[in-house]
Amino acid sequence: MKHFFECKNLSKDFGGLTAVNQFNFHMKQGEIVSIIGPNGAGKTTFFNLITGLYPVTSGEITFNGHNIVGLSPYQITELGIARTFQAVRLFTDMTILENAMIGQHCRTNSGVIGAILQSSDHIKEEEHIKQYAKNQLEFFGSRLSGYRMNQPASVLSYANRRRLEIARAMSTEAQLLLLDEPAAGMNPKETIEIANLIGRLRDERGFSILVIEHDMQVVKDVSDHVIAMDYGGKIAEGDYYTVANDDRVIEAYLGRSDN
Amino acid sequence: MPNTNKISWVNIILWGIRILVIILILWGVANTIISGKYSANNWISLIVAGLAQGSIYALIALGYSLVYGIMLMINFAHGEVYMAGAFVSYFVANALEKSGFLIRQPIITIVILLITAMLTSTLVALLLEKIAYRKLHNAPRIVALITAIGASFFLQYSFRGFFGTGFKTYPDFGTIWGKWTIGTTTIQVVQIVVAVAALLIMLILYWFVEKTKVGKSMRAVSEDREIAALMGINVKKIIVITFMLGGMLAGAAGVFRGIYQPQGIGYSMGFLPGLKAFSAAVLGGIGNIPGAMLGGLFLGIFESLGPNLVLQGLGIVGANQLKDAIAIVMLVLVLIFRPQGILGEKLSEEKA
Amino acid sequence: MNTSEHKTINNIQQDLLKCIRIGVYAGIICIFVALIGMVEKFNSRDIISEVISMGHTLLVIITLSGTILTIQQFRQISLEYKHSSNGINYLWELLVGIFTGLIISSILAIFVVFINEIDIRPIFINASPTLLTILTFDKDIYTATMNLLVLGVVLGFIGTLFLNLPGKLRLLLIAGISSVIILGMFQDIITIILSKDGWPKILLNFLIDKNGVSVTASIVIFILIVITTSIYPYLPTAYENTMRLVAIYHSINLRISMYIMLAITLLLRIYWFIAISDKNLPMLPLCREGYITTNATLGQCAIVVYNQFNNVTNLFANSTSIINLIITISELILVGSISYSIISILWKSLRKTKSYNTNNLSELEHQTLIIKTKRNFSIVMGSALLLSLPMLLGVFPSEVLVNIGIYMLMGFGLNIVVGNAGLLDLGHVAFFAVGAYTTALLTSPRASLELGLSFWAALPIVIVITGLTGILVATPVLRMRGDYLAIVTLGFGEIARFLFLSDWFKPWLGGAQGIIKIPPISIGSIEFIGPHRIYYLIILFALIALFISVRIKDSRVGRAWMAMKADEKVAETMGINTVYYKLLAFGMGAMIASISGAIFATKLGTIFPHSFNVLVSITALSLIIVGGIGNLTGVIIGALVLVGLPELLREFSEFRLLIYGTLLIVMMLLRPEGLVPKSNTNTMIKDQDLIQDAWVENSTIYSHVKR
Ligand SMILES: Nc1ncnc2c1ncn2[C@@H]1O[C@H](COP(=O)(O)OP(=O)(O)OP(=O)(O)O)[C@@H](O)[C@H]1O
Ligand SMILES: [Mg+2]
Repeated sequence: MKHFFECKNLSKDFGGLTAVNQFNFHMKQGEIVSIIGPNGAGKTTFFNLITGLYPVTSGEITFNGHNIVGLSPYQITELGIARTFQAVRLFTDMTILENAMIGQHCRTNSGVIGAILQSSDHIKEEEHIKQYAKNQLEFFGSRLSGYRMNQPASVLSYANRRRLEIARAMSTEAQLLLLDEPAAGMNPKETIEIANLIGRLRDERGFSILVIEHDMQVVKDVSDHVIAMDYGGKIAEGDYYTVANDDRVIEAYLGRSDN
Repeated sequence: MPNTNKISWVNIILWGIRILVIILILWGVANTIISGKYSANNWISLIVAGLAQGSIYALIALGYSLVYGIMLMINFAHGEVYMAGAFVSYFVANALEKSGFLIRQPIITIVILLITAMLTSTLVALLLEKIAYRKLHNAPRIVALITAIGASFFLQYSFRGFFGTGFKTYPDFGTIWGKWTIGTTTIQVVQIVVAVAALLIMLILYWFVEKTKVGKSMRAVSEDREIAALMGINVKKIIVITFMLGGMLAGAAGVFRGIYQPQGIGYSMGFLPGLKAFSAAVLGGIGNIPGAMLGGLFLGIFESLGPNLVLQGLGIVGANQLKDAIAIVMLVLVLIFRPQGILGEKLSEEKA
Repeated sequence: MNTSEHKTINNIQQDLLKCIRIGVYAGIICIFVALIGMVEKFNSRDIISEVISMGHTLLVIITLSGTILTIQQFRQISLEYKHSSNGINYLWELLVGIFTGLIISSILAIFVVFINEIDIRPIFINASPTLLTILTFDKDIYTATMNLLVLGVVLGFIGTLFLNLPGKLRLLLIAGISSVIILGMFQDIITIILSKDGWPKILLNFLIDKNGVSVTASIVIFILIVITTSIYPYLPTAYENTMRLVAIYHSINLRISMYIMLAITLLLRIYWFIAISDKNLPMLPLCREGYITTNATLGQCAIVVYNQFNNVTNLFANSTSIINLIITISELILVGSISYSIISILWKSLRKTKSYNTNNLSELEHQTLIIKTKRNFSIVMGSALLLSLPMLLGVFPSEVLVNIGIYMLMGFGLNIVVGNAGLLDLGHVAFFAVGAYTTALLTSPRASLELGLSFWAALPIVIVITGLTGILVATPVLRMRGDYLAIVTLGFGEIARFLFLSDWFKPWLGGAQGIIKIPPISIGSIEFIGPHRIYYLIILFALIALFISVRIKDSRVGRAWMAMKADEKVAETMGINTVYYKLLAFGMGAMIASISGAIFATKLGTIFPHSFNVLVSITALSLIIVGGIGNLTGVIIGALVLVGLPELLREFSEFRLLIYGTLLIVMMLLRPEGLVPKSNTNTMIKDQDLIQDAWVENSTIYSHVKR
């Protein structure tokens, strides 16, 4: 049977350094999978490989039956994978609404001529984009919607920036969301909220989610499945308890001085 | 239906360009050689001329490369730093010629000229750094580049205001030294002098950067500015020194240009050589010192050979008029074929 | 701050040095402007006739700014040291000011003595006897030096005084003085505009003396401006009130009258066009160029009408007179409605009435009505002004307007590439040139193609070809980092010129001789010859370009560009095909520039490769940067200032690029907005740089392992 999302023998070399090494992975639709691992384990690099930001050295990634290795990032997004970044990367000069509207870009197609003539199709589509984006923002309650929508994203607090990044990813109508440390830099309350949010993303919006997370509580709360990575390879896999009690995982976290 | 085409047509076009360029060059070269229009002697003198010209480019290119290595910015006004040196030492050369000193002591004259030009150019470079660039250490590259362009035009038109629009002519060193004849080939001595002197200066620079403490700090800063600062290196000072070095080299280049090609010293003389030297720096691998030298020399030779060897072979009339375009075309080709240049390797991939 | 108490003597010395340094810089700037010839060039004209020349004004302004900056610095410092008593501070300030003035003037004095003793003219061509005369006020060197020093003291004093005036008074002074200076600077153009018989002559004679603004006129202007400025703060409310009034009571009347007026003005212009090319039609007095200037007062118009009515027999004898009458009346309405609005503004502002009978309108309806009225008003007024400008101003200013328009159009194109998409294009002239050359090739019967197409037939071809060129040029450089891309485009601009110049393309493009006999643009029998008519074309296209830019900016495409400009990689991961959008930006920028080039070619009738040098690109770049990148009003203002001023002020034209260069540096140092994303922390910039490096990723070896 074809998997919803699958990597086979995925590797990435940076010159001498192998950041991702013969990595095998698959997940089902509607699953929430967490990736854990010490700093420099290659988690973000893995995301960058999936989204096409880095060229793959060797191996295969399939999504919904498409081999996505070698596609440009925008093509991968069109296929239905969207992500957030570890260091939040919003378009700070654009408004919050516009940030969310960007996500709809790949699902719409009006162009220059439509914009100049303000054709009825264009206006309708523009309205749709706006509505869709607002809808995603409202998922986060009043934090991002309401009067705030027309403020530049640069006014947002750190936590809200992270939320907006998720909203932007949601707007792409993706099936698979890749969240890179969504709880990083948040306080305990916000962290719990993020864990809830991840659950809601799947339950209410039907996203499948692949999340990199350091906070073990979040990992425990949200994941159907946990993968532990170190030195670019998979060192453990299974439900939370299996992985958390795995010797190699404990060693990776405790026995290795970070960088 | 999402587009899952893996080979975008941009890639196809780029490959098309690559293949087309190679075919055109081979075709041109083959045609010229078969036609037998030029003898081996012609080629030799073209190559020597190219080397002389190229060593001037190399000196300027080094300035680009040094600054790029440290500041990650294209110092677009570097061509004007070179112009300043050539311009000011012209007046000295003129005075020395009138007093008759030049005829008696051409070598000492050149040394004097070099010192004047280096001082001037260094001064200009330092002013540039202080007034225009100092506040831009962390600005996006485009901002720094626009500032540099502004500075470039500011300098050009200040010099125009100071010294007028007319073109100046250096004393003619070419006739003072005459020509050498080896076998059947004749070579202008000036060309040899320029090439050798420039090479000497570049070797000194190389020694400075590789062996001295300051040079090592420079390399450290270009490797990683933050870590270098943590290691106790005074980054600001290193930047100033870098600009100084670039200025000195550019000043020397200015004098060599005056000696080698006496005509046409004017306020706008720095623009094209600046552009070309940047291309040379990219060709060699920007940020890389031996690369800039090689790039400059290569560019000089390409420029000297290109029109006759390739363009004429392609049946282009007035090929020599397109000489100035060669550097730019080469820049584009380098960026298509090998963006890191001949010797450049140190470019890291994105961090997401 | 408490740290101030810990300041050591050393710090105080440093701070004082800071103050002195500003003076020294100002002195050096004085010498700089003298040596590059600005002072001498400017001196050919007086600001106030026989009183002060432009050259001297320049030096005075530099000295005053130096003093003012120093005192501001000083204030900051004394704030740090908590100098308490105000009285002492004033005294200190005065001392510092005078001292600075003295520093500046003594530097200048040393310079004067120096060039008096040593002839540096063989090197610095501008250190001429004339310069010396200007700097010494034609006195002997000793008196001159003393004079300079005294002047420095006086200016230092004035500067201090000025800074200590209440803010409002300062504003008034600045407004008054600068308007006199501006008047003096623009005297040439004013002379040209006003050189017509009747009241303009009289006004001109009053305003301009031999070589500058007359003394009486400058006093009158100064006072007038001061008065206007002091009532200025009331104007916005007055405007608001008037619009409210108009909206409620006169909405229909005034609006309709304005539209009628606009329509008639338009008809008038059209008639004028036809009449000019068709010799059978009579040339109406009102249609004559510059007519409005001579008659644009209510009284004058009334006289014209009166004369018309006087000739009752003539009036209906031929149709021309009737047309004449209609035109006159329309002009009357134009003048009338303007004066109406002005009067009602004044009236309202005097009465300061606030509330009106809202006629049962809801507040919202009311507001919309007002906004609508405002918009109507400004559209009508704006278009009336735009339409009448060449007639108001005459030939030479129209020529300047056309040049402004050409650059503005190019600026709109470049703004799409640089401002919207964030790609620095330094070779925009290439597209301008391709547009001009293609037009020439297609339309000129003498060009190698011998097609002789009409402009309108050629234009679509020109646009398409240039757009394709844009895409072609952009393709190989697409994946480059921003700064490389800039240099490469600059190179392309130069290559274009080399090719146009080369013998290789001479059979087609004419080499250095260019292409001649490009026919003017025509619609029917109307030919667009001369700046008066080309102006209308330029306006048309500029408005179209503006319209397109506005519409796109706020659309899906505009957002994609914005995202790409902010962070290319993220944009790409959000599903934006950056390659496509970069090409689109280049293509559109090129297309708009090509229209500009096409009009340029038909305007000149002949094109040479030398018209298309890098300076064109730099000018276009400067004007969009000075106006604020990505800002469309900025493009308009930038073009007006950067292209218009140097053409109107012949003294400036020589220093045009010097000033552009300075402006570019200053803008980048002080307000690089539009190029720098907000809240861009250091690490983010670093990140950005790494991203920019990503385009080489296919061919590089990683060697930068983080330790
Ligand atoms: N663009 C790059 N070029 C070179 N090396 C890289 C690059 N990106 C990542 N690396 C290296 O690859 C290794 C894995 O990095 P990665 O960012 O994937 O780690 P991570 O698991 O996400 O760590 P963290 O928990 O700190 O985010 C690290 O050693 C890193 O230095
Ligand atoms: Mg990571």
